[in-house]
Amino acid sequence: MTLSPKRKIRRQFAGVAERYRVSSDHTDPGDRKILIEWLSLSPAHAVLDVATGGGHTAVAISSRVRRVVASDLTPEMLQEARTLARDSGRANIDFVAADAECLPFAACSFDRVTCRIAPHHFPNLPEAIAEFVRVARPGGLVGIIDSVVPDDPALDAFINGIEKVRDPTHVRSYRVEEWVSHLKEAGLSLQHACCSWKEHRFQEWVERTGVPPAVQREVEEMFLGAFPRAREFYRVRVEGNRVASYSDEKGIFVGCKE
Amino acid sequence: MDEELLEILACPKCKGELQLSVDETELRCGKCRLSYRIDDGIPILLIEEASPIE
Repeated sequence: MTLSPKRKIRRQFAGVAERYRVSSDHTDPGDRKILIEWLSLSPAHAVLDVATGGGHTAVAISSRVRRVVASDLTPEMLQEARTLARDSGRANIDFVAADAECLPFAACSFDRVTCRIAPHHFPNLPEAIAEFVRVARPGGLVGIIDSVVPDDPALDAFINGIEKVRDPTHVRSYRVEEWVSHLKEAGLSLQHACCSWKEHRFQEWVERTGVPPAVQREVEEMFLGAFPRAREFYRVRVEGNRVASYSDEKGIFVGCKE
Repeated sequence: MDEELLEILACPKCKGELQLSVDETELRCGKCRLSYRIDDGIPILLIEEASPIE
């Protein structure tokens, strides 16, 4: 049976949901702190966190605002996010299973809309951004964090190629310019944009998506066989003959709905 | 279900209002004739997972 792209994503994440709650890449607050500062949150705000995953952004924001709605395509992921919220003593978060490209909320419902380390999974990014803008109130902010790739086409193809092997639901990590143009086309005025490097511990990172050991090895070989510019740019750290870590850049963007 | 949440929830297909069933196990869109289940307190507002209302 052929699964729809969305069912494929749900099936993949349902099996590994807990790994995303405890993931060192997702719990790392570095990029999130910048985003939270830029969002100018207020205790009166209602916030939507789209594709919340393990719920780290929703939980971090919830202590500064009136309420948060955390949505994700995968109900099992929302159970993990709810566990994180309970463990963190947060009671002002609601959980809703929703497709980022087809959000089940009335227009202008939220003061802030966030989405962190998820858009590279969306089959249709412009549709998702249009939905973020639709559900934000006029004057509201949309804040996004996602992996970005450099302008060099070979470096772009290298890391997107690796991501697709490691994660069959990976669609594309975009260039900063592509992000800026998508956000503007959706009617947002860009208020802030920056990039922040993030180091990924290889073994935890490669295992997280649940691909079999042979595929994990294939990904490792791709890093080991990287052309020199890629090896240098992505800061591939090798110990013995094994990949210990690599680093990539996260783009952080905040736009205002006019 | 929290009233404020119910107020902002919409049918993902037509973006119209949803009605909570009396037993609070599903949300229904009269226009699309679709029912969205609520699993363990989590509304599953996915068109692919909706059932037609008889």
